[in-house]
Amino acid sequence: MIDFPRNEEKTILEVRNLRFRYGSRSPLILDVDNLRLLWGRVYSLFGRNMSGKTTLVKLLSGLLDNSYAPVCVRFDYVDYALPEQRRALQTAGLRVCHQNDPMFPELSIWENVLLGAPGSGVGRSHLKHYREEVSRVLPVLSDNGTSPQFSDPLGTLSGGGRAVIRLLRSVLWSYKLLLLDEPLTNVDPNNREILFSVLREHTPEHATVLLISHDEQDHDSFRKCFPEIRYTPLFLRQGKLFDRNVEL
Amino acid sequence: MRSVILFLTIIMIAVITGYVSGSGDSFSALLSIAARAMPLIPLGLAAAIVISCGDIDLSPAGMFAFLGMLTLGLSNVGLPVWLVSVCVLVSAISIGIFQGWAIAYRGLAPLITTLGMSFALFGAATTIQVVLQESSRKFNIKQQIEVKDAGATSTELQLERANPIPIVQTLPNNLQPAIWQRSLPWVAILLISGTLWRHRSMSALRHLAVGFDRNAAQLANLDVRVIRFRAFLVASLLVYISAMLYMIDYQGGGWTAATGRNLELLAIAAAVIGGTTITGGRLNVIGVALGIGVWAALGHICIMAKFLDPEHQKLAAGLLLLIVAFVDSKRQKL
Repeated sequence: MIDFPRNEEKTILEVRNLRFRYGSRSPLILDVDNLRLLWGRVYSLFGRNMSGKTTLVKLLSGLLDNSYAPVCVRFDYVDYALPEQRRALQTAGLRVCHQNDPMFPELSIWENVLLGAPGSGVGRSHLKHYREEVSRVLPVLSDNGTSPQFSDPLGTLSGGGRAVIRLLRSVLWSYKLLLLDEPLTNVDPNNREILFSVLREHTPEHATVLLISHDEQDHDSFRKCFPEIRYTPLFLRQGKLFDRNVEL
Repeated sequence: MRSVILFLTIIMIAVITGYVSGSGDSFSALLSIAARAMPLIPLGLAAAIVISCGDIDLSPAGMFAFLGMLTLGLSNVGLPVWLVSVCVLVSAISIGIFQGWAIAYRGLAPLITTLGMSFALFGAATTIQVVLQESSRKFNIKQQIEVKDAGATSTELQLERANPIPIVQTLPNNLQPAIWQRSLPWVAILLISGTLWRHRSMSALRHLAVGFDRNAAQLANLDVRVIRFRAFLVASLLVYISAMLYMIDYQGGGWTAATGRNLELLAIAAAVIGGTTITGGRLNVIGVALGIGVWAALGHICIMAKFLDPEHQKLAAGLLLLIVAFVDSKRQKL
């Protein structure tokens, strides 16, 4: 295990010497010497297909077992690598909006939002507040003029509507770090606008957001959501991380 | 809607039973159906809990037979009732923990694991029965030797040994059902608490989410393994309650190693008839109880109507299951 210094108060997530492959004989997917995310900053990670973006998100969210490398990730004060520690990450305030997360089409919209709640549950007064938040978004998700209801199955929404609910499920509950893995895939301009307004509204000043996408337009829209001073671009090329756009 | 249809079906069968039996007493028929169905409702709930979580459990029948036989064995040894209850409860919990661990944490296939457990538990029940029969035979011979004159011929003793020993074992006479051992209060508690849990708790929502789609549940950061483990544990507790109620309240203390054979299929059928989706994600607590009720009603009418054979119950229940499968397949996919 790598010994992280404890005095870096402003660091929310730190990754060091991350070498990941999907098997002992497979090629190296990620080769990250150092990734450090600070409190209150917003990052956009640009990378082409097969550059290791989704693998990085899965590793950071504890979905992948990093058994071919030592434990090298610290979120807040949680050191982790194994999937068993995922609950601790959620409790500590890590939220992830996964690419192509199917969610639960047969459950209602509200039930899908509820499933994003922390494991310990949520008080009734908070639930009422969150319900109001969702009810403000629902009317604009309408495709045919009729507003969806809380009790409507999620499957009745369009792909863009589902993407907005997917984001709501992540941002509605308090968080410290939000990882967004290609949240705008297959989302039309109208829903894209809604999605960014939801993100802007539900990102506290102290929270950190990392948007991961292959689309430059996504990054431009994301940057406009937040003050320039909070914004930092990152680039992933063939598993390596850069702070500027380089061609390998 | 489905619950209403099932309820009306039971009422209709009760009325028909009253008519075909010649007495015209539909209320008595309804009571008989309830008495037959109630001890098995926890068993149906056990199957429904596991199925709605996206798994399958074929062990309830074996567990049912084993727990009943274990109760008899320990009672006949002379242990006090409370100790017997605790021992059998611990056995049920152990079986649930083992199955939950093997399936949820070790990744064993639920079908094979629970099938294996079922065979093993039926085997264990048969072993206990053999031991009980042997000890009862020795006890009978000893008593006969004591009672009879010491000059009895060996032929007489051999004849006594050859006497058929009753296969059905029974509880000692001091184990008469108290009010808390009756089915009605237990079933009422289970149905009320189960319905509240299903509609009011986050735990039930997470349980059904795992049943719907395990991959999506993992992406939603649900602890899939804990939820699956808990389903098997709760199911084993429900089977325990069912076995105890069936033995004390319905069978009057009688039990054999074969009691409960094929009940796992009844439990699964009742769960599906009651609105639980076999692929997981849907659970209707009241529907499961009514599904068991319909099965009991079909059995009752087969017994009461002289022109029907008890095997016709399976025929009718099978047809009903096929209709339900057809109706469920028509449900719109989202």
